[in-house]
Amino acid sequence: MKRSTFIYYAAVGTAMAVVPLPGCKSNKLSVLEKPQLLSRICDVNTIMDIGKSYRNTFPDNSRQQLMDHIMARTESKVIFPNASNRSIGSFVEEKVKDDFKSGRILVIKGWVLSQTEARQCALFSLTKQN
Amino acid sequence: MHIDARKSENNSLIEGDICIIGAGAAGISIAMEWLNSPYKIILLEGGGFEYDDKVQELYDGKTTGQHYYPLKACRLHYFGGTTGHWAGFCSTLDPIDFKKRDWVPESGWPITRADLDPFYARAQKNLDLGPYNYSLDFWQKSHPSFKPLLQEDQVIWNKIWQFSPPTRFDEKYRDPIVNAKNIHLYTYANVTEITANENTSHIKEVTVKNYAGKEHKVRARIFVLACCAIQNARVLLASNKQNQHGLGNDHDLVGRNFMEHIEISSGELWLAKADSLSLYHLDFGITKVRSELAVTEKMQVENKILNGTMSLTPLSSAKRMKPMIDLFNSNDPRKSMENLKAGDEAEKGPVDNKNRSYSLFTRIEQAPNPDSRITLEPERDSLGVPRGTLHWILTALEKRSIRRIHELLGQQLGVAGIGRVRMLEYLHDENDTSWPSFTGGGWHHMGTTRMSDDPRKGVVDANCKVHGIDNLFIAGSSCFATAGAPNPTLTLTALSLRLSDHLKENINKI
Repeated sequence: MKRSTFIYYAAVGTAMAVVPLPGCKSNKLSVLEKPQLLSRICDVNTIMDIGKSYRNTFPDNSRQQLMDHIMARTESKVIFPNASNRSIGSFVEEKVKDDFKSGRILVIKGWVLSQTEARQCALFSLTKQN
Repeated sequence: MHIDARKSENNSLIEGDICIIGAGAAGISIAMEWLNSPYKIILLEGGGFEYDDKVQELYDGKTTGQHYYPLKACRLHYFGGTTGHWAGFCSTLDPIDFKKRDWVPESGWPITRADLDPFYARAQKNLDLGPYNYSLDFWQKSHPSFKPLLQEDQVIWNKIWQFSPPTRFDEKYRDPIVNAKNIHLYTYANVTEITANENTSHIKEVTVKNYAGKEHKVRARIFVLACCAIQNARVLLASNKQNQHGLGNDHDLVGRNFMEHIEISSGELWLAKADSLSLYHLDFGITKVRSELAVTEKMQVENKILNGTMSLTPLSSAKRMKPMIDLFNSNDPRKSMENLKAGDEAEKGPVDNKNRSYSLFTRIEQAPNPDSRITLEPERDSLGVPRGTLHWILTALEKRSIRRIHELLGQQLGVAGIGRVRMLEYLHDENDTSWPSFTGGGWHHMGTTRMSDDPRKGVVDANCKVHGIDNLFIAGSSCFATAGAPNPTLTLTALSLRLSDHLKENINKI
């Protein structure tokens, strides 16, 4: 596993990112494009592959749309624009679990993933592409 | 009592109360039930007490359709039958396996799991298994390390397996059978034909032959065919002098609906935190109990999928394994078994106690399919019996079920936040119905004389009696209406004990 590589790349990608979340600092992006659990079990290339495959399947998703989807409120939770990275991370992590509970699941490259974490992979692959 | 049919006077007439054809797990289990009874039991075995290639060759036949193992090597043709090389995997069929499922063609048995329960309990002893209890709670008391991967809920559950030593029936039951005065074991007595009365409603006698050139007739009040799913169908189809379609085949069902368990590598389980998962660990010859991951009845119904289980092997070990279909590839069963064992040895290597990645290996029933079948070839074996051909067919339902089972497991791991599932490439495209080259079976042959109360849908009734023939019964997995996920030996033994009880209750009425 190349977890450390992933974290390193995520940081670089964030530095390159030029479109911040509305109301958020640009380093929030690193939280959004890092699927927490997946990044503990997959290497960077796998995350990239998943992200690219997602974007091939859903080509209309722009970076902003992906971020909006990831940050979009759920039925029970909402994240405020000025929330800390930690809060955003927790929010997304819960959202991933909610996806699984609600059956919002995608199979990408054979991985059984939540819709949110698939979008995180897509966001990550966009960052690397840029 | 043991008689070598090669040494008997030619054209002997052998007579008894019950003639059991085949001395494997089913036939021996029935014979043992009649030990020291006032009835004369004739037990016919085609081979001797040891492997004999000339006899084994009688099982040879072609395979078409889905790539399969060499037929000559799949079943052993001597006293004890295939228990001579089975691996000892045992578990019960689930209640849903006996039910009519509208998404599984021809599903539904005329008996329930509850009907088999008392016989499962007895069969445990035949196979030297532990207590008849297959609940995780029970086994956790004696195995505190058995921690389930997921808390059982309405999606995934832990299906317990027990492991026979494995019991070799030739070793365990040879002496009691040979020493029993009322059991007449004939070795080298291959049944080549079953002869019925004029309207094929009653069996008069069977013809046995051997390669010493001897031919004998066996007459009995009751005949029990217990030769394994392929040979049961073969001998019924080949006994076609009175009815061109063979015996018990008025509705063209004999040999059809051949089922196997699909056994195939199917995915990977990745954990965020390393775990030994000892509940799922298997060490051949040592492990007595373990679990596999299974999908609940509720989820099978909701998703309209087949019943299957997944076993877990540390990925590092699994990557050293070769597919069984590539290992068990010799016509000589001894050589094929050597290949399998060599494969097992190659699998062994440094394994961490705790792993973060596991290989998922699926064993799953196939749906009954009349096109998956045994037929006869024009070519005959050395005793003059037409050879059997297996045409093994799988459908999209089996593949969709494997895929969906992985999705359900992946979903539950996601809910628990402990890991992810990755399916192997052949499962990525949900519209792809092809099967990869490493698709294998469990050497489990079932369904060729399936059970149904309706003669138009089954060859035998709920008591394993052939429809339309008053004294011909069938024992073994050929009677299975559906296959379930577990290896069939425990269930076929239970079913044989149930048949034996039925015969005891009715012997004077038949």
